Amino acid sequence: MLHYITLQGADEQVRMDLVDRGVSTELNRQRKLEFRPELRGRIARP
Amino acid sequence: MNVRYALVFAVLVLTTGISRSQVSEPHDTWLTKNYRFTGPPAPGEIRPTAPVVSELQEIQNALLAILRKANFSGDYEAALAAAAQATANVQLRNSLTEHQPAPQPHNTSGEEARPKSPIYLIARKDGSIDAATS
Repeated sequence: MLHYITLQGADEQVRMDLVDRGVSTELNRQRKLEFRPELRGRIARP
Repeated sequence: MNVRYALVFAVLVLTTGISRSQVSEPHDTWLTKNYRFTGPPAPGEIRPTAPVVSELQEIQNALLAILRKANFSGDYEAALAAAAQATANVQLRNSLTEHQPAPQPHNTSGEEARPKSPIYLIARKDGSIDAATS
């Protein structure tokens, strides 16, 4: 399960099998961010 | 007949003269005649963009790229999803800029203003894309 907080401040979660990892990785890579949701169950830690 | 040739010659000479005079006018003259140049804006006159708004602009660019690619490849479902997300993004950006605080004094430390946490994009298999702060 991937937990994240939207820009509106809502706490969201989505099953990993419903996440398009390829597109997500590419979208974040274009913005010089690494998309690794498996890290500690969250997409990012500041 | 001679009169006709003379007339054609005169027209040619006149038009050549007109076009040469137009070409020979310096480019700067035309520019300064048609535009008024002002100095740089006063400090604080330009409202600085919040980092989150800049991030949203980057996201918007990515969404529009997806929209174009999906549209080009005939994946209209993905194109519609990207369009819907881009619309929501614009609405969010507008609401953020409306509530943007007053401009702060210019940061002279040379540090680039960045958000505290980056904004990630999460694409779902149903075609929707979420923006997440953490």
